[in-house]
Amino acid sequence: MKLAPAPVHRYPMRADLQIIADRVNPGARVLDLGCGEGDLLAHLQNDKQVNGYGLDVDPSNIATCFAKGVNVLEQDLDKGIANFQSDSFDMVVMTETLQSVQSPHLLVHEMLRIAEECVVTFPNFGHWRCRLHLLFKGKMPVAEHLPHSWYDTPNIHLCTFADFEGLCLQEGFRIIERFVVDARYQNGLLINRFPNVFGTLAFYRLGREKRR
Amino acid sequence: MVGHITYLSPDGMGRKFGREIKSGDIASATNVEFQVESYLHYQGRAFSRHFDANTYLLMTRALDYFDPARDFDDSLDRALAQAQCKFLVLSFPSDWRFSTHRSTEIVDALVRARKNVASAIIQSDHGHDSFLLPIDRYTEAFGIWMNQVADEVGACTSAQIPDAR
Repeated sequence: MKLAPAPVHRYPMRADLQIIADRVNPGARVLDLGCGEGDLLAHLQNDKQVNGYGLDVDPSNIATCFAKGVNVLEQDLDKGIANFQSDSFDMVVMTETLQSVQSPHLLVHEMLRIAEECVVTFPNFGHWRCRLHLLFKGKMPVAEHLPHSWYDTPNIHLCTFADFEGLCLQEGFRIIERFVVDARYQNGLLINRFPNVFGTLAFYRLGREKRR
Repeated sequence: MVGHITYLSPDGMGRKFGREIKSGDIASATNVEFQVESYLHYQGRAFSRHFDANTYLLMTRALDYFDPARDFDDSLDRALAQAQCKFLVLSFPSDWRFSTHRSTEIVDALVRARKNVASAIIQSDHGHDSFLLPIDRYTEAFGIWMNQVADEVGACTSAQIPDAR
């Protein structure tokens, strides 16, 4: 059955969301965890005829999604996503939300249960500015990409790219692709050579562990 | 009276009546009547005057028998599969009659059936009556959603309708 036609509005999209949009196949079924104002889903619905759903808990984000005609569902990620059936989506996406959930590792397991592939993005706590901040000032880093003070931050599980890749190895998440950018969503030679020092944001495309 | 309570919420009842006693003082009262008791007695009397008891029994039965999945092998997914519209599911956690859990069931079935659906959970202390009341987040979200639908189908939105003179 055909879905109702998507609204015709076009919204300018953040560069990081474009990087993800480029990796979604037309007509795919996409679940976006922590969808915010629904920019990614609005774009995917309009340009790629994607059947997408987003989860969020912020009332103002949800209202913005309503205005864009995005399928947003009010659901708290910390209470789990067990209500979504296994293999019922083509891709599960979570942008800059990993660091603010209670159990990131369990959530990624759930994402890979619901879809064979997922995309996770998160800020790098191992960026050289963070390292210098802690080394010389002896204080928790506050940086351009991490603007919160330690006592008032949604980011309860900050990690470096190396930390995350350690988790992937330990939990059996297969890294299909890694794409690292700076604060302006650009990548370059230096970032590609030393991502964990110069990168501010990483995109990880993950898959299930291959059966031996 | 028990039925009437289920249309309200504990917080709402607490705010309205608390432990207030009708005569004002528990020591001097012989037959203690809390304000809430008096209110419920009044509602009970009014209710039995307004409704025919048998009609009410029949109506509540009809509500109990309502089951959209019955004709579809008890599968809500299959019942919803033929729908062509988009859905907005709003629920109020203080509602005892139709809990948020039931609304979530509908949302999950709609997602499985690949329908366009949006949902929001509205906090209020008005229980089941919430959907009749002007709660800020509720009216705002509903308005935004309806305007988007109007936009989509090319109807004029409430803001564009000229005043009737």
